[in-house]
Amino acid sequence: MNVMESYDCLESLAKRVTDELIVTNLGSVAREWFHIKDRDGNLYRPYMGHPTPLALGLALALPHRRVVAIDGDGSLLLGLSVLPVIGAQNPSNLIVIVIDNETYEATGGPASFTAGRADLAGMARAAGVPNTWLVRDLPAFDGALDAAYRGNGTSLIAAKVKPSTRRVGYAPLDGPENKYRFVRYVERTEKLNILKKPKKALPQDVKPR
Amino acid sequence: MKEETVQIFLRGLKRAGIDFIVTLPFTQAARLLPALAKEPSFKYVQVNNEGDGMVIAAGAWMGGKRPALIVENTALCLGAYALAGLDGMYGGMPMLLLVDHRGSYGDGGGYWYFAGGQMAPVILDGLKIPYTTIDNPAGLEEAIVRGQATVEASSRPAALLMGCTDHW
Repeated sequence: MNVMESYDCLESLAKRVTDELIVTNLGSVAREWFHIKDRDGNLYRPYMGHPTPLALGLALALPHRRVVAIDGDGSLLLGLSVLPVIGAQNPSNLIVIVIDNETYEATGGPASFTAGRADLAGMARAAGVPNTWLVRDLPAFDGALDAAYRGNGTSLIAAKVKPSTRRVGYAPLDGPENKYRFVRYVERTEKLNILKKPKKALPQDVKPR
Repeated sequence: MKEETVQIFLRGLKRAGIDFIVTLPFTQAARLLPALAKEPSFKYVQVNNEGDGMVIAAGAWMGGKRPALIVENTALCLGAYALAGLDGMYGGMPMLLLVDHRGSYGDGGGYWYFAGGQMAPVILDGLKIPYTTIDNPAGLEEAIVRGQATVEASSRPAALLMGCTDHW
């Protein structure tokens, strides 16, 4: 029986966060992270299977910037094929936290395969991810997170948690708004011009409002 | 693929400002991919599943890169979930899809190409992704540049379907 809650793990992560780019899974993790630490550098709710590869793309594009994926067991199980890619690329600025509640919680709680013999940290290790932990209590999670922040190479922490008991509301922003807020944050903090600017100046007789 | 076609690809990608290449190796690109991998102006990422690659490309775009995928036609079957998810959740993520269009009109290579070949335009139409098809390498460089212009204007994916033998 797992003793941690995802909320406890996320609170622990929040104490460390400064300018990280953070991509969350959908479902309760997105709601809890929004509740604990909403900020412009958060991208919420990519589809299942997408938080980790999306974070990998960010980490490869910005190798000096720390990127954290907060994924889930069901989501990562859907996209296991990304693990060898992470192992091969091995960006030191990427930390993947898998909130492993061993269920498809949002659907009412059918077990995922991590409730049985499947071990996501072991799969990541076998795929070439150099720093992996399977943790079952908060001190172990904190220790793994400390090591991941100091780590050389990508880190993946599979955190065994019980289904969430917190009931916090949905983030009151939709996906496109979240995307633009996030990209503007990257532009601002990295001094990049990502979003397309109009190529042609407005005619001189048209004044911007 | 002829060496001159490899060079056309490289020129087109550079002119388009592409700096992040995602691919899953496929037969027709056997000569192209090593050239891309050793070209320092591209970050080169090989994947196991093109759907992962599309999401990695989306992340790279959010980090300031201009990504392109170089894939075979079945990538659109595998990647339809990724493209639809990125579109449905975020209103699309800009990336250029350069697709080997085996199994299209005129391909006498083998029946096995046609399942993916015939699905490719159907999936692009279904996802409302603008695309064009070319079957002559003479137009390839310009088509890549125009494709990236479409990506940047629409802030969504655009695709170039490249007809069978002449390109590869």
